[in-house]
Amino acid sequence: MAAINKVYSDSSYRSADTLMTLSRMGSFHQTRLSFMRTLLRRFVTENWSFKRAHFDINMQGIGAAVYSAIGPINTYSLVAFANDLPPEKRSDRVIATEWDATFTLYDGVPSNAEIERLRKTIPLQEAGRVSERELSLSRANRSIRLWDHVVSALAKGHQPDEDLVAAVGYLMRTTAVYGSGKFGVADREVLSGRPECRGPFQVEMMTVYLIRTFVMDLVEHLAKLHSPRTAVRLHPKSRRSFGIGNSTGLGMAPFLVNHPMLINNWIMAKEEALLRVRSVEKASKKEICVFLNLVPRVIQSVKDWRSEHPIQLNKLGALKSDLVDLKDYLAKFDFHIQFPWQRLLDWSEKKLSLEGQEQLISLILEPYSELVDGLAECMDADESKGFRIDGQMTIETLIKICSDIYGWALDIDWSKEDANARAWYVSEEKLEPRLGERFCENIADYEQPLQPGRDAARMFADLRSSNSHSTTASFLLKHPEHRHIVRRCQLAAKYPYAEVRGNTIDAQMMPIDLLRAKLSFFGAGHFDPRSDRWIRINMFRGAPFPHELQTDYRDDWPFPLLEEI
Amino acid sequence: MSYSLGEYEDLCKKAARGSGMHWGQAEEVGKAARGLSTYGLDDGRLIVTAIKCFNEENALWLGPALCDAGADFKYTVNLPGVVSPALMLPFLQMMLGDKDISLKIDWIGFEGILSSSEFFCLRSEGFTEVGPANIRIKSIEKFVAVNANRCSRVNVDEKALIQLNEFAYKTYAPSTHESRMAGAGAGLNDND
Repeated sequence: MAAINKVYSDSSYRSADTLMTLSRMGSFHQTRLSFMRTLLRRFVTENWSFKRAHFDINMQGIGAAVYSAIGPINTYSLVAFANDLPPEKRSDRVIATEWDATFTLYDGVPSNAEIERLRKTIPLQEAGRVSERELSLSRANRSIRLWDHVVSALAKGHQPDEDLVAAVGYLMRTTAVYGSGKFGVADREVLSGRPECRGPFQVEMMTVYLIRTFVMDLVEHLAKLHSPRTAVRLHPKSRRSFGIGNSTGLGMAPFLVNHPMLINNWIMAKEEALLRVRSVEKASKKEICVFLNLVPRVIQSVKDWRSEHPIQLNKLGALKSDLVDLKDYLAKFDFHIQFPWQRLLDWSEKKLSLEGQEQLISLILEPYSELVDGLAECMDADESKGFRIDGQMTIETLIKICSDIYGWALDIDWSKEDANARAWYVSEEKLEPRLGERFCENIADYEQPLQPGRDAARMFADLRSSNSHSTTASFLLKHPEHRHIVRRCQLAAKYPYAEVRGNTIDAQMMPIDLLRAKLSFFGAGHFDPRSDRWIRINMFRGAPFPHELQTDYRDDWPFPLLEEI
Repeated sequence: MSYSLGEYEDLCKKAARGSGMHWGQAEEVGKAARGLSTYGLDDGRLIVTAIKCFNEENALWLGPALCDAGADFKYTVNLPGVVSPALMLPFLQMMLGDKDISLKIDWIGFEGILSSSEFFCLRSEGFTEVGPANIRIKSIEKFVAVNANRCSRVNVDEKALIQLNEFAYKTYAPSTHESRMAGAGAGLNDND
């Protein structure tokens, strides 16, 4: 019991009840610990080299290419297959069956025979079969708004329209990047002994980073094929302003709920980073300077953030106003007081929206690479360790844990339709994850276990009618239907940020909040929801390309440079 | 067909759920399937058999129950009449956790030693018996296997794969217009 109390009385970190609400998770921003930044930092510090090992693509845009990333020990190759997709087949949804380009990250450098093997299976994506040499599986579609414009402009010898590039931000959108054993690619355990793969989603981030390089080469290549005499390449500065888009749907929400230990470790690392910075008694001139220089850059980044979704527009409006307030406050803020960052945060909690508060957290971590960056090593998880149920735990203790973690859910009247209006399920149609209306569709029988709040409330009712001195093991013999939630509950007692504090099946629930939380840890920015369950983002926008990593790398690449404005 | 262990675990979990088990139990079936496959001990056939005859004598029921309760096996424990006895092994291994002991397990035609991270088979002809079998378990000093083979893939038996997919399919909702419109991106222009 002492351990449980400690978690909830420890005021050093923000409490889970504050942090793990859906609305706050839906306001998270990228930080120094985001996975894209961790990846590029490794590339630079370990002096990785890159090679375009193969590039054979015709005028119609059909062909294959291989890009190798060569590290101190291992080499990884992006194998890309470009396609000439009829427009009517282009869809970002899971149920699509063809794409403009398909990819895999290959372990090593593929031989010609391996490229031919992959040519038969990678374009099929989930419908193909891959081997353990394949570490990821991904696909992307062209941006119709930008692709033809850029090819045509470059072919004519012009640079593309800057405003149009800024409005879209990418030439292709990935619509899925699968790793960790999905659809037969190598399991995470196969790679976890390799330092570059140990951190979360490093294989997937490497895939996307190399896809961006391929896409930029492809667009310049096609321009050259169309008009060899007049074609030009993109200006390096313009080139960097292209990221890779990503369309993300409901699959990411179940991921957050299904990996409680992993999510805890991501958030705990960020909270530890925050705690370290909050504990800085005196900020140095250099640290203050780094922070203050970033403020106008983040203001510009938010100006560039486009969305038409009313919810995001409201949040953006609040964020813009927050940043004006922050700028004004900083103009008179005395950084020479004790614990200046803590003081700033105290102010932000009173004055700023959740978007603004989380943006400020991202900013104050920036000056402190030495305090923060090493925490990236703590963000993976051996999830097998949280699986076993402690059957010796008494019902009394389980009730206490359940009340502590799911108190918010125990206060909900679950007999009301609105409280369980939704149900998460998987469709037979290409196994697409979906969120349906429980009382309007025949889906309840197919419900996935993605509503811990309701499940905890049901368990709680049965716990209350059990002998408080009996054991969890004996309770579960009578109530095997609670095995799932007992496991979650015990795990959440050890990992304070494991569980979302919000009703994932409420009528008003916004799945995009969960998507954004995960995407922020990837390092994504400029979140652009297209509905309550569909979000577009931009990845690696502003990042140096492989050939620039050793000569023109800056660690704060997600923030636009002032001279770029 | 070669499956990743994660993919195979997920398929077995869904198959167990599709066969009528609760989600928490189905998760345990997935873990058991993965656990056995890590040592190359199952290709789906044991799991399919066990799922089909799931009841309180089945290792898929008894294994998690024993794992919950915990035991030190200082003295020999006899578990009579266990159906699909091989599936007790992953749960016993899970129960060992980080404990520095090993377990000697036998039933007619099978004898093996299990630690928290390793498995060594001394006699295997009865390993795939459906049972019911009388299992004996006794703790011994920590056993360290030399050159213990670990598998990172599972070649799922074709017939077992069909059956696992049939069960798993029962967890998928039929496709309807309403359902299609509930998917992410539905009704939106995603070709821009």
